[in-house]
Amino acid sequence: MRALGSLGSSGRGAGGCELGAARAVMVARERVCRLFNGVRPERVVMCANATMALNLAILGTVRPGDHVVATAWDHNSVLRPLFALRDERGVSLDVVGADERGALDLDELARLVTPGTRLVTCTHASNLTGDVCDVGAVARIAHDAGALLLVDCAQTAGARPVDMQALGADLLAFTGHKALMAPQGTGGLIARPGVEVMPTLRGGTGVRSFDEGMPEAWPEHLEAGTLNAHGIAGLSAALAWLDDLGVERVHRHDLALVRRFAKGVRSLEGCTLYGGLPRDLALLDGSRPERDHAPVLALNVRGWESSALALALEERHGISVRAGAHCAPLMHRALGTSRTGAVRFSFGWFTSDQDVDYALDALGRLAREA
Amino acid sequence: MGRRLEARTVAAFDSTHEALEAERICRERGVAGRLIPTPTAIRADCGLAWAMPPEARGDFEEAARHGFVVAGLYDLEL
Repeated sequence: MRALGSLGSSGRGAGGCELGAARAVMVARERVCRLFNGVRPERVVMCANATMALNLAILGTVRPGDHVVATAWDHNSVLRPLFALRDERGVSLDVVGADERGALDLDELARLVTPGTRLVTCTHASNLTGDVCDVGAVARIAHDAGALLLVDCAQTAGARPVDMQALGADLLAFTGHKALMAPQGTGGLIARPGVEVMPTLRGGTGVRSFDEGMPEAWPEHLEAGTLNAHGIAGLSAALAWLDDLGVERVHRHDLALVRRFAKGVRSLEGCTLYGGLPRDLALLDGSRPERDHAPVLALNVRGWESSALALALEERHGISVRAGAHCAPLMHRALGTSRTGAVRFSFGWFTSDQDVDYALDALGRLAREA
Repeated sequence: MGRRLEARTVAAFDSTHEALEAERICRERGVAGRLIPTPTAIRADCGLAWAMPPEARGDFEEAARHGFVVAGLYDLEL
């Protein structure tokens, strides 16, 4: 609230309000860099959301004629820019498939990624099933071929520790409005030093105004236009709060909720839970990082169309869920839910065991109606 | 009668981030000066510059060795 009343425009003057905004943005960059174990805070590019960050990364690294490998887990914020590059700029695109449980075929990835591949994209955790990708394995395949790796952390940022360097991510995109609990309109792209990203947006930066091109220095290189300093101040406050709380603590909390909910759903007649979790529930104890899970789960209930189920949960029980396709068309296709869609439940730090039990009770009641 | 000008040493930076980093380190080390809008005489700049009394130049250059990059130093009358 203090930011709303006091911050001016970052990088656009040396008055108290403008410097206050610039300092607030700098502190936010440093906090983002620390959270994701980035190398340099100036390689944190502030964006309006993960979609913008992913577009900057994809459009700024892929040139006409390049080869890109994506995965079936990828969100439309990755797929649509890539489809456009394929259709309009002669980019060659391969997509690694997923099986009916949503598991990615890493052998197929290894076959598709070749020394000519420019970029590999992957989603840290599916926004549909919540399954977590073995990013380290993807990174090894990408880097062995000399390709860059772009990781979409929209579902994991703030929900579990994300170490950009340990993952091997060359580019990492995050949003503020999910588990980071920051305002909508915040997010960013982090680039490993040395990774060249051409500007997609061009315009005022407050820097080198007489140059025809965008400044070479980061972050202004990719930050055209006035920043959302007020939102970024909110992001910064959320990061400080999360740092005090501890992301690992949030992670343990969320995993316990996921296990509780998944166990309950498995005992309900007529409920189908998607992804690898029904198999791996017993492994969600932290002992196998590759069996980790983001705090989202997708399901269907026999006899209920997904949007009707979502509506009933909201109207009769006050539970907000998301029905439909979740901007993840290829994952729905893999799971066989293109026609039906699915209902996604999301949990977070402020969700309690009682909330989960309440949701399970509501689901049980609705399942018995069908 | 014209405005009385003062001699100032002005440091330019390549990015706002670098200028703010310089401000922080200078403040920590007690280097005199402040961030100002970059004078128009300096074109290769970010929008912010560090202006200081000429006698603070040595302290500033010493501070720069502790973590920020200066794009240029100029002696100006402001």
